[in-house]
Amino acid sequence: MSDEAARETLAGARQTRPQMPDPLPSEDTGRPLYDRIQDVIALYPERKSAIIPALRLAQELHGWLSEEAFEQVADATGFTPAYCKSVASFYDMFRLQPVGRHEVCICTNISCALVGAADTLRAFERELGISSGETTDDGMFSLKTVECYGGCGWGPVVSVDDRYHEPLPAEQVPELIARLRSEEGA
Amino acid sequence: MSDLKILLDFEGDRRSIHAYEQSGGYAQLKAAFAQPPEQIVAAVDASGLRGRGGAGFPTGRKASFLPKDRKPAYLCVNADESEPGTFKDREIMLRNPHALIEGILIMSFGIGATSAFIYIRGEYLAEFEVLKRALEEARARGYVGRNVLGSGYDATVVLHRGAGAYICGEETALLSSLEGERGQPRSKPPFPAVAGLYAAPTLVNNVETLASVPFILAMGGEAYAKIGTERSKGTRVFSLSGNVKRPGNYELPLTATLRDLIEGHGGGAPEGRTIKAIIPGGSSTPILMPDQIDTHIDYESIAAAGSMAGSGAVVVIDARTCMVQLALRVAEFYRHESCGKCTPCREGTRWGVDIIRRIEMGEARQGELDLLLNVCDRMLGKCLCPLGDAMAMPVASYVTRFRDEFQRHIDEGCCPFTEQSPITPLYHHLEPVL
Amino acid sequence: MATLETATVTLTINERQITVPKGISLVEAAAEAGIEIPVFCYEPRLGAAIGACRMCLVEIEGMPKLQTACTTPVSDGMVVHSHSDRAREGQDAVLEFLLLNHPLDCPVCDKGGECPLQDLTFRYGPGNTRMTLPKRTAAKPIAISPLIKLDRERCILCYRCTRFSENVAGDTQLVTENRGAHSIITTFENRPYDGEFSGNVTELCPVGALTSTTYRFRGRPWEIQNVPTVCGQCPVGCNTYATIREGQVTRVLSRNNPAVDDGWLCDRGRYSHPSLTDQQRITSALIRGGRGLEPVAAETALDHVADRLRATIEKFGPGSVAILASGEQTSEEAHLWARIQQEALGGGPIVCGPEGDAGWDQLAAHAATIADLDDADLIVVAGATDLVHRAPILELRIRRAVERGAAMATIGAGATRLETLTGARHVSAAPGTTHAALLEALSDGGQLAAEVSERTVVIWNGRMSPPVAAVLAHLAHSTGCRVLATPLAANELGCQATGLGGVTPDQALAAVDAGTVRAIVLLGADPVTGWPGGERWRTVMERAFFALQVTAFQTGSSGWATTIVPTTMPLEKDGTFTNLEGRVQRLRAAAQPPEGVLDGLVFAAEVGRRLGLSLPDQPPAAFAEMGAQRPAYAGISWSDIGEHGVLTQHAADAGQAPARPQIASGDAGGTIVVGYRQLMSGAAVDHSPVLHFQRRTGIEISHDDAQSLGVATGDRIQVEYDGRSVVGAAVVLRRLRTGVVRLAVSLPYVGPGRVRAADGEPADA
Ligand SMILES: Cc1cc2nc3c(=O)[nH]c(=O)nc-3n(C[C@H](O)[C@H](O)[C@H](O)COP(=O)(O)O)c2cc1C
Ligand code: SF4
Ligand code: FES
Repeated sequence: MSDEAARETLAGARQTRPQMPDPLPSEDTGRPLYDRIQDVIALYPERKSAIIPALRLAQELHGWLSEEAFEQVADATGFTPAYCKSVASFYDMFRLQPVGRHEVCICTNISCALVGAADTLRAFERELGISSGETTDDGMFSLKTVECYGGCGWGPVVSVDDRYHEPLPAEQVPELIARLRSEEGA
Repeated sequence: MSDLKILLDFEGDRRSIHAYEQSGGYAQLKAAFAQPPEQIVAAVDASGLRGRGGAGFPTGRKASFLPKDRKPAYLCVNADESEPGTFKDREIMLRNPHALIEGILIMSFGIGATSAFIYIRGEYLAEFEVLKRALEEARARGYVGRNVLGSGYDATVVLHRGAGAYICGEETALLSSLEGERGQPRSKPPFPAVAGLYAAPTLVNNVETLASVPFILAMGGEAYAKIGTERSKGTRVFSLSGNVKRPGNYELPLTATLRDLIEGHGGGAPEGRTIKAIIPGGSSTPILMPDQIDTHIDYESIAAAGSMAGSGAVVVIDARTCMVQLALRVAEFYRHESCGKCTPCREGTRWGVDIIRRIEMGEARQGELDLLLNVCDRMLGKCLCPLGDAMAMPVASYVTRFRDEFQRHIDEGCCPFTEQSPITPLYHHLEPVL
Repeated sequence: MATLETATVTLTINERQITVPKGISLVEAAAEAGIEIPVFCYEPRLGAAIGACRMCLVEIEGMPKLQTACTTPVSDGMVVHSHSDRAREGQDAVLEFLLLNHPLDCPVCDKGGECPLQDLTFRYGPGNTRMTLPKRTAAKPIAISPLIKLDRERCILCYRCTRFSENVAGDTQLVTENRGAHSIITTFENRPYDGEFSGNVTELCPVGALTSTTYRFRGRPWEIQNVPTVCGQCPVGCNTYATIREGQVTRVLSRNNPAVDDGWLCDRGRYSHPSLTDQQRITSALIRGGRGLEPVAAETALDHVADRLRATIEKFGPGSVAILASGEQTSEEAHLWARIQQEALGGGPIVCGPEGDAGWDQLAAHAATIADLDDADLIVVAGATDLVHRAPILELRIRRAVERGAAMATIGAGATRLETLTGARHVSAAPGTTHAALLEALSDGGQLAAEVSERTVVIWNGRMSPPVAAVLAHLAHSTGCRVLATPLAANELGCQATGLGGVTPDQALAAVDAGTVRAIVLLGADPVTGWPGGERWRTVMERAFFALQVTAFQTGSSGWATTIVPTTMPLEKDGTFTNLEGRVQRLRAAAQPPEGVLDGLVFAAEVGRRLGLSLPDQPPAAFAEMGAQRPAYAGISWSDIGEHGVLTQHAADAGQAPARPQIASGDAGGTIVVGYRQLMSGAAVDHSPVLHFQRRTGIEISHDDAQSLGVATGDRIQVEYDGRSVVGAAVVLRRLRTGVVRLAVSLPYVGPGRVRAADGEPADA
């Protein structure tokens, strides 16, 4: 559906989208998870507030929130593993199953859908040979459809490993995947 | 049409504190400490500024609800921006982060907050990093920390990332989430102003709302109040998306019309497309028809037109689009985001989605249109928070505005738009109804 | 504050004008006006109302939307309609939404007939069902523990169970996972819910989603009868209903007594009734003859017992019979046995429980009531283990008091649950010196001295001994604080107060060594395996001229008994227990004892009669006699006890303050072993296998000691103490005092010991 009209909208989006900053270097100093969680707890009036940040740290460490990860967060925060998982399972960004090395998320909400998100999704599925919710056999890519990512005017919005790519029309998908593959190779 | 801009009135960005100070930034913070806190709240009140998060409640009034000198007290910044169609707070944080920080500091001082928390949606990683840097700069300059600029006021600002849940934009859910719980709304009363974060008096404000505060103090509340209409003051950043030539964020005085935004700034529908419908305030607001494009964008005019200004997210829908598919996509979003705490929302969103699915798939029986309207009606006003209404209202408006189109699906036993509608291919990705 | 509470507001509900206290909710206000507003999630005992189910929607004039009555506080001039068309439309809508998913399996549901959802559907429900979508399905009932099954299809997500687990029990094991319509009630990774209070969720669940495995399909509401009685498993004495079907107890429910239990039960009280019908239950008297223990008829047994006792006295003189009681006898039984000992057997030693009598009388005048915890400013809990093992329900009461703003301090070995309450402070004390640390902390200059007042309640969570009693009495005198001590056995105080007791086990053993004791009567007691000096007790029984054991099950002592008489268990008894606060409460015989079991009171009376005494064999008569002969019961009539019991009169305090006891505090160093009797122990639990998964296993060890031993949680370690050796899995606790090793045992012990990795060097070399 990449007709003239769609191209016109994409061109407009590229004009209005602000420059994105360079990513900050990761903070993982290799210190034990337990200690890093204590630092987070110190930021809040009540330790419970540190649970979500703590879960994020654990997920960054393990790639997902395994039974062991919950045990560690529970030990460091003083809440039960059941409580920690009850909180984690409420939020879409916490992974209760392992995923591939690159997580590709495609917004399919209305604004993106109106400007071709479905085609972008199809393109990923074609290139990776999996459908949304699945992981490639080589464990390199996971594909996921997500709700509005807040890039509605600059869609279709796709994020790879939490970094936005917008607008990302179907025709640019093969190139993106090729780049990610070569980076892995290197 | 006056083109007055306040928040985004510059090329490029003012990420660095130098750039911001060059433009007169942080002068208002210095000035603020020279006056009694209540004067700050008074100025904001005089400006007539209304919340930009969605509810549109007068900001100065809300701030005045906090009991005086009760410690601790908190300011929570709502940077959860998740209403489909909305991406304005993101641009403000990316291009003008210090305006937000200065606004936070001024407002914190104004209400005597012991700390401020910025709740930013987890997906906004770059924006989080920008704010993080900006806060470090501000701290280095002594705007944040103990005894700010020798005022004796201690300003603590904590950046807190969410983890992916639309409902956490609702203020009480935000507080639950910030306290480390499942992000479920709390029943009011008590209101946050009385018992909010950690049961202490709490003011919750949207990013755009707070970022406007320095400018309001700069020009004076009364001057700001001169911009806009009788009851809708100042400028507002509108998020324009969908089928237009130049989608993006546009800051307009509240005297403008939808046409100014969609055609004047957005360039109208792309070549060879015609507008079928307009969502004026985010996906939770009732839909408007093309012939309502001259509606003014202030809160009252949009209400008079049968919808709501909401989050200022205008979505333009062109003629290819199947309204049943749109309804399904919108309803599906709210089903997915329903927190599950209260019965009508948890079950009603599920039921609604299923009926719309049946209509789109051609499985629906005659009479199910009215069943759908009745389910929406039975949700309306009965839920713990407005999320249930956020599905019921737009869906009901689609059915009433495009009843024939819905009816055709039932009569023909299939979707007449399958070929052309851009949403069609998404179906096999919709989560199956439980 | 007080003025606030006494202030009232006047409002109108359904055309009825009422004046109610300020601050209460519309649901409560309506109830006062005799108007029922339907609710599901609302349950005040679980904390603030959450307004989740929306069943209580009402119309309030001047408000555009319907409001939930459970979350709306009353205000002056409010005009409320709960039956108006709009209100009913709202209630009807909510019910329809709830029933979208609810299976129609009421006929086979245990809740059928006593189900709020069923009742409300009948009264408010939608006549038509127009559901076009498939019901959400889930695996039919899954066990969330050996005790409880969960049927997720029936769950209406009212969050009563999860709020109980988090806010009331504080175990936070039963939680909600996922979001929206995907939300489910669950435990972490399907681990069994092993909180000691888990059973309460089956009573809280308003539908048939959470049910007891012990009750499922056992009875239909119209075939059963609920007998009001009292739990006999610990000295708190929670009030209960025993549900009876064909003479058998099929379940135990709470019977809310706000002064005692607030409507909660622990799982030992709720789920130990299967022991009543356990096949190991003794159902015939046994007399040791040539071929070991042989069954005899009840009459024969009675004659034999009386004959042997008489013979003992004739042969060896008065005072040659020792009575050892477990403290689980009714006060009436205890009174009779005390009389028998005094009047027929010449007043030999009487011991009640392995901890024996230890100056309870000194404390009587300062005893706090359980309800005192509610308005205490400061609560101090002193002891080396979790309070749950000696007085389970008190933990819930304390948790609630702290939620409401009471200050909290614990004194002991650490790593107990109460330390995790908000704002709780902890004073670390070496086991064995806890009373010294308590004295120090509360006396001038101590950490807590400044806060102690008449509104302070001190809970002694451990063995009562003369030095401990002295400390508590001194503190009560000098600071005005009140004291709750925790006896080991359910009716230990009743037994003490009726004269069944008065000697410590050691004193009794002394008498034994002096050779004066030649016959022994065990009333539920098991000295050989459960008392200090077990070996010596065994010898006593071996040498005894006559060794009678009155018991429901054979125990470690049975091997040396010459006569065993089967007796009734609490759920089969009529009579009274006196709980740890001195409250006299009424047990009612709910279950018929098995064929051949002799009622405890009748047995005592019959033995007495054969010894020439005339003893009352009916509880009311026995109680009346107690009133005349035992000061604690003076002036209390049988009818005074009523449904919720009555507090015994405490002898007024002597007045002169006991001097500050001189005790060496501080740590002797080395490893201290704390062996405690856990909640899930005792005959009733031993013979209710369904409860065994809740037993605490493993050996608790401090973080530092684990480091120096190089062991982690799960590794095998070995503990040696008092000539015993135990090997078990280590449980490493960050907050346990260094040097302390803690484990559950059948014979309580606090003293020196050694710990090593199961194949390593001793820790305290
Ligand atoms: C379901 C729901 C989602 C919401 N999401 C947001 C949001 O993402 N950002 C926001 O600022 N306000 C959001 N709101 C509005 C907030 O509840 C609240 O009114 C607002 O943050 C107050 O700030 P303001 O007065 O400055 O607008 C939402 C409300 C509801 C009911
Ligand atoms: S299981 Fe019962 S108590 Fe728990 S949420 Fe479901 S319906 Fe409520
Ligand atoms: S009882 Fe009021 S909402 Fe459940």
